[in-house]
Amino acid sequence: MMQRRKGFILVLVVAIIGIMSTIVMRTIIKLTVFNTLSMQLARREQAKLLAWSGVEIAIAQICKPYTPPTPKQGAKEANPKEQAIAQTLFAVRKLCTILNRWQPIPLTEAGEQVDGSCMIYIACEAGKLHLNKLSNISFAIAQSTEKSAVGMRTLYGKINAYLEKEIPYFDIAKLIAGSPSDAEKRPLYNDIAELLTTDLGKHFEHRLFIRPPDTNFALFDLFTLEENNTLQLLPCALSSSVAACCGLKAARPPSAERWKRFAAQAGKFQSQMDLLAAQIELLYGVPLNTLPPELISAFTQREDFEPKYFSVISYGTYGNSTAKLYVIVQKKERVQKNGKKEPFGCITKVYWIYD
Amino acid sequence: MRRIWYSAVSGMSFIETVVALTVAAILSVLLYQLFYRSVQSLVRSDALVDDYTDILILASQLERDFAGIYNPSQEPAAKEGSSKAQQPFLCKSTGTTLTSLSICTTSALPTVDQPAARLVRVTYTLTAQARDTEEQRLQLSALLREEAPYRPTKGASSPRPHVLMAAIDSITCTCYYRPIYAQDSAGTAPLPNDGRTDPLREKAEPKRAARAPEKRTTWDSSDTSQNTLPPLPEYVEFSGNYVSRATHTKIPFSFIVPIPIAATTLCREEQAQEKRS
Repeated sequence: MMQRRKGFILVLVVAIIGIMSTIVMRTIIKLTVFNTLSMQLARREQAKLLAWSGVEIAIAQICKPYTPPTPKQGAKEANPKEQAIAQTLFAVRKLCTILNRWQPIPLTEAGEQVDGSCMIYIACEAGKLHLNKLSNISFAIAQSTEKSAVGMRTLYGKINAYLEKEIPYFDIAKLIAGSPSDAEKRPLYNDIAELLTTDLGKHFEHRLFIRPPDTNFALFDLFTLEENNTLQLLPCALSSSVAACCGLKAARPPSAERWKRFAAQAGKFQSQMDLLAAQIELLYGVPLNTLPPELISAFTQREDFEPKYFSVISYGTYGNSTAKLYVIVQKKERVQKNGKKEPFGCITKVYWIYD
Repeated sequence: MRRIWYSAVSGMSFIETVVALTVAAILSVLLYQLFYRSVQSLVRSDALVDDYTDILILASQLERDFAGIYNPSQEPAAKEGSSKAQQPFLCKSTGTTLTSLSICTTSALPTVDQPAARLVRVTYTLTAQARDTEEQRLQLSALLREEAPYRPTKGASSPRPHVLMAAIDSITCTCYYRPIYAQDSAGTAPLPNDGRTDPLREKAEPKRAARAPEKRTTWDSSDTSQNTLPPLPEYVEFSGNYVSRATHTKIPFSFIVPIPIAATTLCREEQAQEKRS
């Protein structure tokens, strides 16, 4: 009897310890999960804030005012055409330093009190193809002899040739039209991603937005729904995807010395074509005459054209959490009290990038 | 000698038994207290985690959806061609309680089966949907989220709503905005088209800048009797009470969701002017 009762307390203690351990363990696990979840949520919020900060940095870059050159003392007053060329040159110089490249913005705990990072990519909507304009005249293009339509037809061929390497029998006209049968009653687009619902659009499911570190092809980088009321593209601001389709390497800002030489020649440009040729050579490193003449007509040659819409891709990273945004920014101007115009940017469209 | 030894090891005196029982009782009470408190704390932490998870999911989803609010320029499909369907933001309330909220947004939920357009119309509806008898007794509601393509495609499945948050006792959606007047009270200032405030602007337009944001719980910018209503509010506040699943106590919540494009969305007069130009 005594022998049998000896282990009773031990069993009781083990049972109690077991129950208590289970409760304590469950509590710890639950709180650890909650702690991990709340930490992850906090990191995600920080990442979101960093992504929005990236957008603000991009807006600041886009709207940074530039001072047009003032004529030297004693120099004769420039005529309006020369003034317009000077304006264009400054606009080109400003654009080519910020467009079509990933800009890492490192942040440090010591400096900015944030241990995260931010990365932005700015593209100009005037350097992309306007989807609804293309959609409108997609079928007219085939027959039209109008200059811009001929240029666009050539660009169609270039895009088809570029994408046929990956998608056999790719036809941009079919991508835009959906299916040829309902082409006539096709509605206008509100969103580039609506192309995904077409048969050919499915191929671009994972290629909607440009991804770092490259500036490879993406649907939102080829098409736009902003800015262009014509089919013509701004040659100094071609998006990476449009440039790639045209057989051009992405535009790179020229060295200060080359830029100086280019600016010195500016007054000698006889025609708009001279200015265009100089821009293409300066930014893309190829002579204009190496491009098909029909393609050149797809580029706008207006000196006074200033882009108003830009797209910004912003990545905010905090810890292991990254928030990605694609934002369309409109550049506007407001008149200050002293009568001077001040540029500012407004957000007109926002996409969260999920991939 | 032998008997003395036997009695010492084989039995206990009454005092010894009482002491042992007292110690055992004290230990039992302490153990029970520890056990009870542990269980209570577990229940509380469970409820906290569950409740906060619910509210975090709601706030996160609303923030994501509202960030992508977009005012489409092109008409949707003909069958949806009513003016209500084209509005980027439409909010209905009964008294102060939200009944439905419909927005046009680019924040479609990612799909895995087939690629879909990003532009969707999201509708939040408050419905009487109880998960158990207790919730039924308390007359709790659920907030449903339904996502439909802005331009439906052929053969697309009809949207299925899902519960975004359950056990809602009350929820209020308050929209904050700066009213649009065709002209300032002095009759000289232009329309407040971008809604921004900055020191320069405040000096230049004291009357406009001094105008405080107004609030309302319903939103229908197509209503011609509401001429001062812009297409979108600047930010929206969600507040209310929900009932904890574990403790069945009411927990208040309140959070603000901004609309980034509100400042740039053109009002009706500006849209008409842009079309004319």
